[in-house]
Amino acid sequence: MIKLILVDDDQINSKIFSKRLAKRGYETEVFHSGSEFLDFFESKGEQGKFIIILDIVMPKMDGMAVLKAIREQYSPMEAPVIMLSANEDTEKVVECLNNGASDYLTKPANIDIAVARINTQQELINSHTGKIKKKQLETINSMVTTFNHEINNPLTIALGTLRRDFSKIDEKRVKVAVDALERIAMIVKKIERVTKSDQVEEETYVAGTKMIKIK
Amino acid sequence: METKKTQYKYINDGKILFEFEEDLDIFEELVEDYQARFHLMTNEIKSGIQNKSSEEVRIAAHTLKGVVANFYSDKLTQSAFQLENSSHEENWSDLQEYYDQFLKDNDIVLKEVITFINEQKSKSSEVS
Repeated sequence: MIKLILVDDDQINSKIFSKRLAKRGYETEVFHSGSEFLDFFESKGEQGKFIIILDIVMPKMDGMAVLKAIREQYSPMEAPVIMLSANEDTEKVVECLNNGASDYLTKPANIDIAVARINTQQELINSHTGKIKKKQLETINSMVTTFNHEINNPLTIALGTLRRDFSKIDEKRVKVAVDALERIAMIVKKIERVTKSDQVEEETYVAGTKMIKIK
Repeated sequence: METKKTQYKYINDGKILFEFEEDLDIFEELVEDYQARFHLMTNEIKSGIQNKSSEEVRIAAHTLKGVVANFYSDKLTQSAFQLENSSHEENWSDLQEYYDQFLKDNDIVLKEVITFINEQKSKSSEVS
């Protein structure tokens, strides 16, 4: 089950909410200010590992400012944020949703509604992760096809050279064959590397766009 | 879910039991935490009024409103809401009045909340 991060200056509600979520099987961590949470989040940098439940009204740095800071680096799929609001905060909720909040809960949060919304975010993360894995596989398949093609050229050279009458092969031709075989060996090693799943990762291409990178 | 009010005048006991899934321990802990932090929270409002800092009053009243909402008492929630909402107007004498009213409402509602907890406890001890 995914970890939940609660960011709320209200020490009583956050403690009780955290305990009730824990009773439903969730691991939770509570932060009582936006800046305290952002320090943790930026140092941790583990997007996709938790769902953030963020209070809108907080002193100094409010929920909206924290949300904007998160969205500068992470998409809603990488760092889902469920806003916590008072019933009458409709305008603020809309503003947060327009700025990348994933969902919202009204205070005091009903535990069943909270769990349902957390589960929705969890399912979206799972679906996104599945799509990324599929893209990674597609990328690996394309690379294998390219490598197959790349192998074919030096293989033709090596075979062509070695199929000649050996008495007619001079040192220069042997070097051509060795170079071609070494090239094949190098490509085979590359294939071996990229087919290992931990050699594929996502990297920011431009802000908000990620590319699949093969190490 | 429809919840019916019983003998309590200011709190919706049915709603408390429903929302807290009849887990009285958690509710009791919330009430104890509230009592322990009450002076700290209300002092923030008091100091905000004295310093004429509407932001200080607004944030503290908002937090207070969030906590008392767990008692499902329209009276107390409304009282805290009035305090929060009036902080924008910066009418300091009105704010002082609303603050005093909140303290009075809190006394009444908290008494009911504690009676409710004790009643629930005696009910559960009768069952066991």
